[in-house]
Amino acid sequence: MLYKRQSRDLLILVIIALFITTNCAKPTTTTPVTPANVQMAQLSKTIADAESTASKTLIALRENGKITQSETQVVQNYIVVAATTGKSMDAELVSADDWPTQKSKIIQMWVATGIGQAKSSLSPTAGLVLDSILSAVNQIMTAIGGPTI
Amino acid sequence: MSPAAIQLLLALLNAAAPGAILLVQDIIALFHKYPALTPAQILAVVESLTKSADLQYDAVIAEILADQAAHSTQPAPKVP
Repeated sequence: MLYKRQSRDLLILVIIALFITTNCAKPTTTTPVTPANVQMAQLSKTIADAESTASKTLIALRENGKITQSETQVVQNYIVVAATTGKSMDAELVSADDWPTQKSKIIQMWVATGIGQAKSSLSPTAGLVLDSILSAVNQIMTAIGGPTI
Repeated sequence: MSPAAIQLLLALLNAAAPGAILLVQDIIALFHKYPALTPAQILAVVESLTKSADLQYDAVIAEILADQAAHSTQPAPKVP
């Protein structure tokens, strides 16, 4: 009888000790998962910000004689392509397509822009302007499993 | 159960309780901060974010087109 009681007490102690070590000693908080399309919409805003900055930087560089007008125009055209693609991506994100379809279309859109290859035909200064846009676009590609552009 | 064992249990519970209470409070706070969103609510968030991004895309395109229109006839500045 005494042996049974001691065993029960010991079991209770072990359970409490386990509870403390697994739960209470190190309280953890679970980070909520942001839905994929919300994450994409947030990154779209990041791209829009990057394009806005790039556009202004480009003009400043031209005004300071760091890049030519023709090169300015080439980069501007790429920024317009990226802005148009951003709008298409936004339209896709609010479409009735399911997420795998949206993901696939978004990857195709950005690959088709050719922005990744644009740098090779630009001067290093002009190419740098595109870097921030490329970085933001590649965040999207990484998030949805697309190729780096 | 012996008095010593009861004392030990109480001490353990006393140590465990604040942690457990904090854990429950954390979880409740988390649910208040990030309540589970319905698909309709998620779509509303996406629409709001994309609308804001679209306005900025439009502004960038307009700025570039205006700049190109203003500089289309000017000679390109020389690179130093």
